[in-house]
Amino acid sequence: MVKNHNEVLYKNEQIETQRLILRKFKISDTADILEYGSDAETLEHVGWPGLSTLEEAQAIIYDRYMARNGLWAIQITDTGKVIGLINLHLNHDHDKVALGYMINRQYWGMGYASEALKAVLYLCFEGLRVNRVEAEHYTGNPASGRVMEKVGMKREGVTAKSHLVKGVFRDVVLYGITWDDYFRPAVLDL
Amino acid sequence: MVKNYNEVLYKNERMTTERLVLRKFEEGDATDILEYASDAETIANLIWEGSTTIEEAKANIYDFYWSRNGIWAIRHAESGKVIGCIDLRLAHDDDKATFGYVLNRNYWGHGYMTEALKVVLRLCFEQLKLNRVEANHFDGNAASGRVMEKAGMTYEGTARQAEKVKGVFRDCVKYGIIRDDYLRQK
Ligand SMILES: CC(C)(COP(=O)(O)OP(=O)(O)OC[C@H]1O[C@@H](n2cnc3c(N)ncnc32)[C@H](O)[C@@H]1OP(=O)(O)O)[C@@H](O)C(=O)NCCC(=O)NCCS
Repeated sequence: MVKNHNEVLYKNEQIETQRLILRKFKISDTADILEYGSDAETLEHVGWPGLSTLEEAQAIIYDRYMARNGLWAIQITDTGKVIGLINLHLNHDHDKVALGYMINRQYWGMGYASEALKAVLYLCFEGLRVNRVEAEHYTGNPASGRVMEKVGMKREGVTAKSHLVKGVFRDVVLYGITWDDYFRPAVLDL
Repeated sequence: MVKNYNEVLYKNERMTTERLVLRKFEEGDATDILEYASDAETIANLIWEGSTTIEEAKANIYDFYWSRNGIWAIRHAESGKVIGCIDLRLAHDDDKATFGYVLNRNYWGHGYMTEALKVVLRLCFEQLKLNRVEANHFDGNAASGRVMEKAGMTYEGTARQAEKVKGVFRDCVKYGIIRDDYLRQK
């Protein structure tokens, strides 16, 4: 990992892709946060308990989203709507990153998560120069696994009932991509 | 997990199996510790750097072996020699635990670690009432995977280059056993 990882993250507080802008959260995002943060079906797949009021949405911006770097709101460029978030956690000891994301259910199936994830993977390997990026999802959420596969991550295993999430033991599916995977050409013509 | 897990651990500071006694480390164990802690081949697959002097081995007792409960010396009953260590780490949020172990190389291949792990797993499920026990070994340490398999654990996957150990990226080979597996196997 580069030494100036914080500088790299600050310089990439805003990332633009074909259809999306990844950027810092703003206080004006509360209504959009409430929309995805209060949807039971979306919350079923994440550890986060979610929220149910605009006040809670505002509090989470101050308490969680603004308090750290490496966390982006996912905004649709055309409409300006914030449809989710993506974040990363640096692990210095093992020179790797763990990613998490969620998307408003109204916008599932349109390739937005893959587009955001691809941009953050690019930042991880080209910018932060980490050796590995990993992510996990609970079983019963194949779409999330598909997103990870589409961006080149590999399914590495399933740990049975390894997380207690909102009172239920969940099976966790692990995905990872290493520096070698990322930079190795898809076909080696020897 | 039971609420009185500390009580359970203290009451099981000593556990006996057919050929082994698992007990607290004692100051007099330093020589035996040094024997396995200074062997390069033994510590090659551990995050632990080992010890090279008797002073370091002693410090290891004070700084690590006595630092908390759930750490047992493995004593070979017949010879009275301390031949290794097994330790348990509880993860309260997920109602589970992980463990680590090491054995003097002269005692490898006799089923000792399987015997030690089995009694620790029994403690985990029957007394601590955990929902799951899990552990990783690094690539190239198949004997450790075999120990976990023989103790009833299941291979769950391999996280490639997931940990940097002594400067080298190692694959983490994952094993787990859930309460249902344990009860079914009994
Ligand atoms: C791993 C370790 C604890 C095993 O202890 P042990 O008492 O020799 O283990 P057991 O005798 O109970 O079982 C070992 C099994 O591994 C098998 N084995 C040994 N070397 C092997 C190899 N290179 N590949 C595959 N299997 C191997 C043995 O044949 C045996 O299986 P079997 O009973 O089916 O024949 C010991 O080797 C050790 O301390 N290693 C160094 C520290 C370490 O690696 N700790 C674990 C970190 S995850």
